[in-house]
Amino acid sequence: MGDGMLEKISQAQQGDAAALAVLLREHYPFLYKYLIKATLDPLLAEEIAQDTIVRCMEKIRTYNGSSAFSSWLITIASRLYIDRKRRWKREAKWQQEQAQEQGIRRVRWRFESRNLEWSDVLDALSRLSSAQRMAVLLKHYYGYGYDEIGEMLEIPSGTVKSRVAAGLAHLRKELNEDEV
Amino acid sequence: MRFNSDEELLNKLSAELENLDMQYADVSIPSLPELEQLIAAEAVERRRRRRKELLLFLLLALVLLGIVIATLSSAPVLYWSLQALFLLTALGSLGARRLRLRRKES
Repeated sequence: MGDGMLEKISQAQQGDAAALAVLLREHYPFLYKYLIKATLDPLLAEEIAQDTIVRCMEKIRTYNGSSAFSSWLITIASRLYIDRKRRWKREAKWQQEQAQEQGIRRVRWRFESRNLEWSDVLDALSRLSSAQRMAVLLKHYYGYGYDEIGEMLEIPSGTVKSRVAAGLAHLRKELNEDEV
Repeated sequence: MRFNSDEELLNKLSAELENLDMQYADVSIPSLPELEQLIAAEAVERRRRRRKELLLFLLLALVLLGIVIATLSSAPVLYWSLQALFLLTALGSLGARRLRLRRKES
C-alpha cells in the first residue's frame, strides 16, 4: 500500500468525507469486477457493491491495516453476498434458480452482443455453487492463501481447501464431459 | 475441451476471468460529489439511528426502574424474595458449571 493511500485511509478514519469518497471511487472498479466474477450477475454485483460502500462508510474506523484495503473491501462484499444468499434460502428454490439464471443470461448477453464467445469454462464456473465459486476465485484468481480466505469468509481453512478442491473437480468433470 | 492437469485448467480459467473483467472495464464509477453526498446522508442516518437506539434504551431502563420501584413499595416481601431467588439461581448454575468442568477435567 502506498503512502498516499495510507494517508487517505487515515484521513477517512478521522472523518474526512472527501478522502473517503476518493478512496471508495478508486477501489470501485476492483470491487465491482470481483463481484461480477463471484456472482456472475451484473445487477446483483452492482447492488452488493453499493451495500459494500455503505458498510465501508460505517466501518472505516475499524479498518486496522492488517490486510490491503482492497482485501478488506472484498471481505465485506463476500460476507454481504453470503448473507444475501442465506436470505434467499428462505425463499422458494425455483425463485433462487430463476434469479441466478437471469444473472448469468445478462453476462452471457454482454459477451454475445460484442460477438464474443461465451466460453465453456465460464459456463462451467456459473454452474458451481456460489460458495465453491468464491473459494476458487479467491484462491486461484486473486491468489489468497487458505487461511486468509478462511478469515475473509469466516470459515475454517480446511473448509476452504475442500471447497476449492471440490470446485476444481466439478469444473474438470463438467468440461471433460462436454468433450465427450 | 479436455484438461489433463489442474495447471492447464487454472490457466484457462484465469484467462477467461480476465476476459470477463475486460467486458466490464467500462463500469460506471460513482462520481466524487455523488459519493460525498452518500457519505453525508449515511452519517445523518447513522446519527438518527444512534439517537433512536439511545432513546429506546432510556425508555426501557425507565420502565424497568418503574417496575422495580413499584414492586419495592407495594410488595417489599415479593421484591426481596425475587432478588434472593435470582441470586440463588445464578450462584447455583455457576456452581453446577464449575462442578461439570471439574468432572470433565478429572
